[in-house]
Amino acid sequence: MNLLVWHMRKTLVIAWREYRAMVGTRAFLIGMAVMPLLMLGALCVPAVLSGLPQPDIRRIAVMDQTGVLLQPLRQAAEQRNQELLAGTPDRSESGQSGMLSVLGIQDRHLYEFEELPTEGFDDSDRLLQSERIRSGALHAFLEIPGTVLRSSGRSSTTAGTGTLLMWVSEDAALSEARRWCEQLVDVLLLQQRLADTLPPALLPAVIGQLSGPAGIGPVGLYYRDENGRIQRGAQQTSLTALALPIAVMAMMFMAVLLSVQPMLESVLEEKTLRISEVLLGSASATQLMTGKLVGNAAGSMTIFGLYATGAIVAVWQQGAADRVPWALLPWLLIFQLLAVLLFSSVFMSVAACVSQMREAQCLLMPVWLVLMLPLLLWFTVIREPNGTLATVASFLPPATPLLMAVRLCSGAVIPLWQSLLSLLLMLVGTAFGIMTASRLYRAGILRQGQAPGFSELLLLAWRGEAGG
Amino acid sequence: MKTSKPGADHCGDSGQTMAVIIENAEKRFGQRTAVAGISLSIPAGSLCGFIGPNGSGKTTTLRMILRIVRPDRGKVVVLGADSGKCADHRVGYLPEERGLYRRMKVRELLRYYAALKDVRHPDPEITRWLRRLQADGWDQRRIDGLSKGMCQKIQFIAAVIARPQLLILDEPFSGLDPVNLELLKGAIQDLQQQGTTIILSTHEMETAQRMCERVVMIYRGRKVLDGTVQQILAQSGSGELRVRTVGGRPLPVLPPSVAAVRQQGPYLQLLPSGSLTAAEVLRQLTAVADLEHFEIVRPSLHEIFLRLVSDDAADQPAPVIADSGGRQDLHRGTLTAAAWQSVCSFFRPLGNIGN
Repeated sequence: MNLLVWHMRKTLVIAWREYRAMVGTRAFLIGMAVMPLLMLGALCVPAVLSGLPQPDIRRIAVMDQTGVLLQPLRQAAEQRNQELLAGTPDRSESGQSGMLSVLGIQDRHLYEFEELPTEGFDDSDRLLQSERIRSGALHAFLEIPGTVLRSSGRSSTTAGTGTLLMWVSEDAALSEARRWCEQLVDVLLLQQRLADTLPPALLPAVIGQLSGPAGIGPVGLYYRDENGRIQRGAQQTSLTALALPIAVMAMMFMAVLLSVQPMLESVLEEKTLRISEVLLGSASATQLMTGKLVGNAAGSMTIFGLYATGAIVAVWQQGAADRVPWALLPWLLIFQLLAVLLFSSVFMSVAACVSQMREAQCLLMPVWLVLMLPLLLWFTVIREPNGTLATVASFLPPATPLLMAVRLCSGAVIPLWQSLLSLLLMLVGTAFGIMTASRLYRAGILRQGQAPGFSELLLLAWRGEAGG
Repeated sequence: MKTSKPGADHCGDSGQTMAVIIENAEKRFGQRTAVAGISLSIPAGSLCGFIGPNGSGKTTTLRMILRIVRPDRGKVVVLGADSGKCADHRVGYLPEERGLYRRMKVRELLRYYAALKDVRHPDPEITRWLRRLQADGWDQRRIDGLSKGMCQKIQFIAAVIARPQLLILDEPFSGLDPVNLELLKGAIQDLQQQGTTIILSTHEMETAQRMCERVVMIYRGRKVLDGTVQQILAQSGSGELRVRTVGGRPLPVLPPSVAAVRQQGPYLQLLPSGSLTAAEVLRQLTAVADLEHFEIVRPSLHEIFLRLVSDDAADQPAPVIADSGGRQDLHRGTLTAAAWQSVCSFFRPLGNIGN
C-alpha cells in the first residue's frame, strides 16, 4: 500500500509540475484569449461590420421593360432600408438567410434602385453598366424583359442566360441582393399575373390568401417519457440547432489544440535537454508518462472549463438557459477528457521519438488530419445528425468526441445505444492509444539521432524497449 | 531536513560493502550490442572513475545502474536492490548534458527534483547547497538566464539534494572555470568523505587519475580496465627506463641488459632486454657511466586510455586488468587484434600476460 502511495505521489508531483508549466505561462493565457478570437473571428468580423450604424448603400440599376416592377421594388427596398436602420430583423429571411443571420453574415447593406432607359437597350449599354460596376458607382444591374409578365416558362431568356431576368454584378452567383430581388420579383410577378386574370375586387383577398406565410415551426422528434406518455420534442431554435453544436465543438477543439502543443514542446524539451534522463533516474517511464498525461489533461479540462463557464454566463445573460440541454454536460466532459488523453498521448509519443520540432511536425501530419476531420464534417453532421455519415464517423475513436458532441447538441434524438457504443469505442481506442504511446515513449525518449520513419515507429511500438 | 525513504523496505538492505555489483550484464539495441557481458563491483564509499571513449557502452552501463534501462542478461545490484527493484531515491545523477527546465526558476526546479526523490522539506538543504557552491541569491533566477557553469552547479545540487547514497556524475566539470572546478571537486570529495559512493564518468584522465581511487574503463561494450589507480599505473608500465648521465654524455657502451636506447631531450630512454629487473639494469648502468637521474617510466592514465582505444584497434581479444577485492588478477579478455598487440607490447616487460 505504501509503495502504491509512493508511486502515486511521484506521478502527482510530475502531473502538478506539468499542469503548472502548462497553465502558468503568459503564452497559455494569450493562447486562451487568442484562440477563440481566431476561430470565431471569421464569424464575428462580418457581424461587427454589419452592425455599423451607417451601412453602405448598394445601388442597383434596373432596366424594367414591364414598366410595373421597378416601383414596387423601390418601395420594398425603402421599407427594408428603414427596418435595417431601425435595427428590425429582416422579415424575408429564408432558412438559409436565417442561418446566415445566426452566423452574423446577413447582408445589411441598404439597397437603392435607379431606372435605366428601356428603349434600344443592347450590349453596349450592358458594357456601360458593367464599367460603372467596375468603377464602384454601381453594385449591379437587373434586366427585366417585357415578356416576363406573360411567360412562366424559360423559353424566352435574356442575353442567353437561360433565365427570364438577368442580374449582372461582381458577386452575381452569391449576391444576397440578387436573392432578395429574386424573391420579391417572384411575388410581384405572381401578383401581376393574377391581376391579369382576376377581377380587381377579388384581387387583394386572393393575394392575401395565397401569400400568407404558413409558418412551419421547427420541432424536435416526439418520444415517450419515463411515464410512457408521448411527448413532443423541444422546439428547435437557431441556438440549439446551430450555435450550440458549433460552440461546443469549437470549445472542445480549442481545449485539445491548446493542450497537445504544450505536450509536444514539453516532451521535446525534456528529450533534447536530457531532462528525461534525470527524471527517469527518479521515476519510472510509466510514472513519468502518466504524470505528464494527467497534468496535461488537467490543463486541458481547465481550458474547457473556463470556456464553458464563459459560454454558460453568456447563455444566462441572454435568457436562453432553458434552451440548453444541460443533461449533456457529463457526456461532453467524458468525451473531452478522452479526446485530450488520446491526442496528448499520441503527441507525447511522437515527440519522444524525434529530436526536432520539424521532424515531429512531419510525423504528426496524419494526426493533424485526423484531428481536423470533425471540422470538415461538422456541417453535414449538424444537418443530418442521424445520417449514415454522421453515425459512422462518430464511431471512429479519434473523431468520436467532437462529432458525438455535435450530434448530441444538435437537438436530434441520438439513440442511447449509439452514445454508449461510441463511448465504449472511444474508451477502447484511448486505452489502445495510450498503451501504444507508452511503448513508443519508452522506446524513444532516450533515443538519439535520426527520426524514425513510420515503419520503424511501428517496430518501436511493437518492441517497446528503451533506446540507447 | 527529513528525507523519507519508503522504498527502503522493498529495496533491500543497503548496508552492503559493495554499492554496485554488475554480473555479466548484457544489453543490446536491435543488432547493436551496447554492453557485452560486463562484470564489476564498486565498493561502498569509494570514488570510482568511469572512463571510455564515446559509444563504448559507458552511458548504457550507467543507465543500467540508474534503472533507466534493464539488462537483457545478467544482474545489476545497486545498493542491495537488484535489476527488478528500485533504488532510485537513493541514487543521484548528474547527466553529461544539462537536464534542466529552461523556464523554471532555480529554487522551484530544485524543489521539483527533490520532490521526485521524495524529499519532503528540501528548502534548508537547497539553501545550504546554494551557499556551499557560492550560488546564493540565484533562487529566483530562471535557468535560461544562467551561464553554463551556473547551470552545472544547479544540476549538481539537483543530483545531491536528496543526500543520495550513490552519486553518478557524468562529466561534472565541463563548463566550469578553475575556481568553480575546485569548488565542485571539494564538494565531491566532501560527499565521499561523508560516505557517499561516487561514480565519476569523465574523459579527463588527469582528473580521474587525481580524484578517483578506482578506475573502470569500458571499451566496445567490454570492461578493459578495472582496479585502483595505483594498481593500473603500476601494472601498465612499459618497462622502459629514463636516465641522464652526468653532463648529458652518451653511454660509452651499451650494457647487455639494455636492448635499445633512444635520446629524448636531455634523457636517454632505455628498453631493457629480457625480463630483467630495474635494479639489475641500474647496477649494470652505473658500472659503465655516472648517472644523475634514473626513473622507471610509467604511462599516465591518459596514455593508457589512448593506447587502448587507438584507431588501429581491430578485432582481437584484449586483456583486462582487474582488481577483485584486493587480489591482483590479470585476466585475458577479448579485444581487437591491434589493441591486443598494443596492450601486449604495453605489458610485455611484466611477462605474465598474453602467454
